[in-house]
Amino acid sequence: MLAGNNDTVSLIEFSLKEGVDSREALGQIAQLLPENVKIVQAQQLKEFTLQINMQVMNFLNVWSIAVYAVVAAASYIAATRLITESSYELAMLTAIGAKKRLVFTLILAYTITIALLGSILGIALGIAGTQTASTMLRWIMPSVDVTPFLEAEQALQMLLSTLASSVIGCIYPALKSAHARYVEQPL
Amino acid sequence: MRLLGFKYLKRQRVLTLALIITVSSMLFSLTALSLLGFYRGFTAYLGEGKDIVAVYDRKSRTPFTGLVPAYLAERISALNGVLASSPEAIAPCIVKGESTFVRGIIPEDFTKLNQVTMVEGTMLELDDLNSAVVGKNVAERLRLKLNDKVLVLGVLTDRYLELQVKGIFISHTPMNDEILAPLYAGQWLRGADYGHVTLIRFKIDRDAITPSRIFEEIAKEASEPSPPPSTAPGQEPPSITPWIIARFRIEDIGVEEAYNFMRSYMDRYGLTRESLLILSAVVFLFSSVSIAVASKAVLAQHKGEINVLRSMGASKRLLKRDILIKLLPWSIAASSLGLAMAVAVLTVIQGSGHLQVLSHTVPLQIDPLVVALNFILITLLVSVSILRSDV
Repeated sequence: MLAGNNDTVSLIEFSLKEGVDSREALGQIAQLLPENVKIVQAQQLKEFTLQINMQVMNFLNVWSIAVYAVVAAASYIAATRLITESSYELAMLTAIGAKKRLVFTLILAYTITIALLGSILGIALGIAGTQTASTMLRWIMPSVDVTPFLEAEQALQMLLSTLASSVIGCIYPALKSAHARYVEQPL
Repeated sequence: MRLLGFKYLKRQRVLTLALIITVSSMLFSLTALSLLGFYRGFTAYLGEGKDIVAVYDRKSRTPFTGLVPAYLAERISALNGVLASSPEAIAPCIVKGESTFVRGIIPEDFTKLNQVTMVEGTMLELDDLNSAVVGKNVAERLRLKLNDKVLVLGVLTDRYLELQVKGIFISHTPMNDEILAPLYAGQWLRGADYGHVTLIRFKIDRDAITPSRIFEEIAKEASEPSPPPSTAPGQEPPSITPWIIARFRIEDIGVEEAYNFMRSYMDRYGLTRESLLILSAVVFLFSSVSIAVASKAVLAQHKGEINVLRSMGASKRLLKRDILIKLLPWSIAASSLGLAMAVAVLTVIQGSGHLQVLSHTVPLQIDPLVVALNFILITLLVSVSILRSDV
């Protein structure tokens, strides 16, 4: 009456009967409504919590990019050091007929093995360290409520990301070493 | 024997070390600046000054979910030394599918505690029906314009409200990420009755009153509640928000400086400024292994040149000192570059709206302690790696 339009309303509130399949009921309601009318669910606690968690995850993802950059740089250094220290052996291999591909594969395999073992050890130490730290924190400050956990999916993701950044880091020194003639000083 | 003018370190190899230092320094700076930014932003959420005091619910697990009697705002503001009071009902909500916080306020009281500059439209008034002013960040994130109507869905209760954007504001506080609505709107969306609010903030004159004096007054109120004010004929009509006398237990009420109040919530989860700095330093120490290895790799790569110099009569000490003098400027330049890159990356991420925690933008502020720690740790690491090496 006050809005001057008796045919329309701002909102229509629905409450579903108990035991009704909400998805099916909402589908039926949506079919009856005009296209420009939207259905929204009130009290989306799950959605809110999910978004807040996603914000924290975004924050950690940004941070993890820097961590993987360090892993790639460390892998670069490890491969460079390996090539410097094994220059005699690599030159020998090349002299007796080893192909560039073999030298490249050797360096890559070495880096991947180290990265794999290192990341497994790192994850294990990380889990043990975090659990110890949180337990100690709960003992010292009983009001602190921290329960860290790591899902298998997350552990696998970390493992693969570490491996990928290690491979990226070692590709350049491995390629350079494979293309070096045995009389040259690698790198 | 003098070596300073003799360039025997190859630039490409030194650049490798510089790259490692840059990346490690960037990691440390990213960690420290973002974590400390989050800590600072969270603790300054309700005001940094010692003159801002909060009355809050001690039982609540978060600063956004407590409930205290609203009428205490009026009672305490009558005390000598209380300059302003602001009862606030904070409601976590979903607006346009995005998580947001709506803060129910009494605009006149709120502006005495927080300076708000309107960039569009006008400031809210308590009797504005179903209106709200939105922070600049929220307006950008949700693409809200003046006079837009938005459906605000409460999260803690199945209540909702349609609000019209009356203005867009900026403030130098985390309020930029919130929607300000009249107090009753906040109470409705929070699922509280009109007698309760999330917290009450007071601005006090510390020479005249202290938080403990306020607590004493609240304790007195808990044991002997004052009678409700009677409105005699001819007097001013009651305000739009009635002050309902609600009974409460004094054990549930806390009174602290706003800064300490927020810090106490962080402390519950072990998040102190010191613990965050230690965490950043630990991250740096892990990445420092690569700096130590890189320093040694540089020395190993120059073994030929070093052996020639040794055979020419250069002592180990002289060589170590010379290498250190040549590498330190590179290390300092690399760590400065790492810091600058971290600031640039964080600024870009913050600008794109991805650096958020609890739907509030993490403020970025360069902490002198982080800068100093960055340079000290890098210098120490490079120096120790070179001086302890077997040249």
